[in-house]
Amino acid sequence: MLNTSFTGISMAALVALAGPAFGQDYSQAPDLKAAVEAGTLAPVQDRLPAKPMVVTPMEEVGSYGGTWRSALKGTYDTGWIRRTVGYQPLVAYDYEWTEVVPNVAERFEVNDDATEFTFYLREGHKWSDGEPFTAEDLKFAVDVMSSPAYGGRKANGFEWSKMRGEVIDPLTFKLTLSDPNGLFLERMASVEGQFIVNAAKHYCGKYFADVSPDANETAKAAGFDSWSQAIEQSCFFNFVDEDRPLLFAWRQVTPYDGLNQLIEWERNPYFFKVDTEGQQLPYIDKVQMVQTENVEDIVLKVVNGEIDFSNRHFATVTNKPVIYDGQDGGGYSLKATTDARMNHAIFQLNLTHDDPEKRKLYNEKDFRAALSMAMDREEIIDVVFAGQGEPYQAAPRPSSQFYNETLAKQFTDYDPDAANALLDGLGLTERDGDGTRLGFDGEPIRIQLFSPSDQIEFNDIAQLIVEHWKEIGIDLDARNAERSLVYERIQNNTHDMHVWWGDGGLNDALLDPRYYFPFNLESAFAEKWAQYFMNDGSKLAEAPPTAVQTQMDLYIELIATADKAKQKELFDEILQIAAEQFYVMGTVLPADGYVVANAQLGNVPEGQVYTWMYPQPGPMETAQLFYKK
Amino acid sequence: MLTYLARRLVTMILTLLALSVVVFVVIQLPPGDFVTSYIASLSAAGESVDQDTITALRDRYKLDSPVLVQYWAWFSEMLHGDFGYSFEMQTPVSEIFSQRIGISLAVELTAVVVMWAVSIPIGIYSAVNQYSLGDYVATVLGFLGLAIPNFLFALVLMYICYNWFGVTITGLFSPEYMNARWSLDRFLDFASHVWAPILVISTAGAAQLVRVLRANLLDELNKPYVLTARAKGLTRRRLIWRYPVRVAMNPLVSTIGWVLPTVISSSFVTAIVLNLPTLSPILLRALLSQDMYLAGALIMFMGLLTLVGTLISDLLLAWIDPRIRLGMVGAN
Repeated sequence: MLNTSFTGISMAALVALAGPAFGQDYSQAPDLKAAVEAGTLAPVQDRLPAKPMVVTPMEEVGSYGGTWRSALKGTYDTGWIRRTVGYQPLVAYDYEWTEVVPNVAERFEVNDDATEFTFYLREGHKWSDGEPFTAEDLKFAVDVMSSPAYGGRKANGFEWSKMRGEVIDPLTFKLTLSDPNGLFLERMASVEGQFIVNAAKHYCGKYFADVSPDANETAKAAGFDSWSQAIEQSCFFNFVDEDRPLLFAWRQVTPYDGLNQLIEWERNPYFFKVDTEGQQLPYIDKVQMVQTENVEDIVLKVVNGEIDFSNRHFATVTNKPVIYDGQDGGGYSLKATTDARMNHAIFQLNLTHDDPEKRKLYNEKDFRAALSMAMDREEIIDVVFAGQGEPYQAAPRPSSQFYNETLAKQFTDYDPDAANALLDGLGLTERDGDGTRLGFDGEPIRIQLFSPSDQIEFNDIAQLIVEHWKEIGIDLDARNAERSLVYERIQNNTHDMHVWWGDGGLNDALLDPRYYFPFNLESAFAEKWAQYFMNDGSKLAEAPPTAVQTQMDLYIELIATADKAKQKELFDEILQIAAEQFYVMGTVLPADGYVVANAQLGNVPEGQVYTWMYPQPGPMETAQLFYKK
Repeated sequence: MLTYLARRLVTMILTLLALSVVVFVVIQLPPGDFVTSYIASLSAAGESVDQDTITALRDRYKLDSPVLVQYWAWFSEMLHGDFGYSFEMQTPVSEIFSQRIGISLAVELTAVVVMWAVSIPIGIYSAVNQYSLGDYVATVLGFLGLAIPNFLFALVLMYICYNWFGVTITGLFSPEYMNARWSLDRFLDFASHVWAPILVISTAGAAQLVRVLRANLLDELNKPYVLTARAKGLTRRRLIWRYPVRVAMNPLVSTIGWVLPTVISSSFVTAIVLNLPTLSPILLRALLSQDMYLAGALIMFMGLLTLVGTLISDLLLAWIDPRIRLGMVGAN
């Protein structure tokens, strides 16, 4: 008797010492345990990989149970799914967004030239339907994306023709790039990089001709137009097909097809992560996302306590007072987020305008400087943003490693006299009867701005600026327009000016420097130069001036470097040129944002970064959220 | 009568043809196409799109072919009962339709029934008892109902319900019943939600009907035949229901034609504010994203409803009013 209990104690001590390395002491949620006992599910150690990933909880080890409720808006809101349930990439950003760490991959290696990336998978890792997950699945995803015949939406930021996947053995996968790419791992960890672990070959393969020759017929029989469409819908970024196997912490139960109103997820019994006590994650049983049609409805759900953890769509400065007041009644609290955006609104004159007179005028740096100095940013902050924020240009945030004071602060002081003097200095001294200055061609200077009507803040800011610029004799014709009209005009390069918020305030600046030089189609201040840089054969493409060309060359050099210090040095140079050029006019640096969290919810992050590139809250590992008893 | 019906059916088909052209042209009018609005909505969500993707999408949806070709493709498919494919939802239009039409019709038709059931008695009452207290109350409420836009009423109702009773009245189901099969519990849950949209949608319509009925009936009540009938000893109740009300209903019946589509289009904003899973939010989304086949099919459907409604109201008129019936025969 004494003997047995003694062995019991020593066994327990031994197990505690060894931690979760021993397969037999993994534990699981009660519902899964019941299923195992009923014989309908394999035991937990057979479902987990041989070496599961151990998640250290942010605050404490949690317990099982509960539902995580949030809301989606309209049909296109896959972004929220990909940032929450869906953020289980091959390699992930760490919580602080300082480096890229292994996630689905157990570890990875990069060669010195940043051309070869080897990923080692976990032995025994399974899809949510219990099928093994291997290097073949990764190769399949890369093959589909790089197939020229694939007509679906491809993951952004990858050069498919320069990328080749190779299966070394079932647990080892190698990606070879023909050109070095020092930012490749960051891309793989971004939302877009998740494509590589989203397509299960044993499921999606039936729609791909390399795997099954009659793929097109299969797709048509399943009700799709073509195999491309079938893959686009059932694999990668859409969540229309609830049967598809996933690696997420929760697996999909009902489809997100625009018709179905409640998108439900249940615990994935094959999820590969455990906590420090060996409990298989996730703690929360179910995830529910309600599809709504308008933001007011979401706000109402928030204050009524029907949203457990989210900041999607509703977390604006305008809604904050209502949501703040509702905390007691709704049983939730507000947690701060750090906005990674560096600007609420960036005004971008079209520097590659087709009209030569306008182009000449807009390209005068003094002209842009005058417009910027004539903006009363303090008034904008007080009127539109309830006094929160600081005057700021399009520049990395003060907390960023790329902070450049000149770029951030030049021409932000409100000084209409100096602005007038600058314009006079340009020779724009003649005015018409309304007091509007005449341009170089003798016509009144009238700048037309269409601001997207669904982003109300832009219009509020623009209307204030109309008055500010009247003081210096510039006529800003600001109108609300349907956003597809706004984008149509940009694509055709017929816009005078565009306004959008400023992404790229922290580390995302490296991956998407759209405001620091003409980089992609979102660089609306120089669409033609951006097309030239993207080199995609567009008719709009036009060779840029020397300074811009220098920036482009520096960026190409940066991409080819794996060394982080060298990358920073090159990027600082790019920003310095941006400061000298002063392409665009920023307004206000956003203050901290907020996220709503159920008061009972544990392991909720405080002050997490919020941006598109870093898919907040994903990198915190949402599987560790739990309800306190 | 049968020839009349046949003639009406032929005109309906021709009108639908003309409507299909108008619908298609109007949907093509705004700048850009589905792909532009798709890109715009992705940008709004923080994403960006490659030029390759844009070209591939345009190719796939054949958005670069001439308008006539696109129209003919749409129209000829429609003749075969194929309403095309929704770009946005990547689903056949007919499927979207069949999923939502039941709930849409349930909500809209209940609203129409409630509207009539409430407005006819009130209208008669306030005409018969003109300038009584009840008439004044009905008049004041009626003008309020006419003056307050539906969406505002919906918002106020949402606020009141949240602030005083702590409930959100948006949607038609609680989350636990959204994906459930129909059962008694689900029906009760539905009933506990559906009153709000029905109240909102029927108020404005009912107010209008009350005013129209009251005015018509007042005209009739002062006519000599009413006095004669009374003098001959017909009871007041019997008289009013038998003669003046039947005549006063004429204008009401002839408006059935546009009651059906207005119920759908006036509940548009209401459905979005209240987040109802009906066809209206889908139509709005389709129009905003220039999802032309879906929007086209929905507008065609509304056109069809108007035509059918007009036909029904004409037949009903002939049925209740012998003068019209005889006029039809005379025309033949």
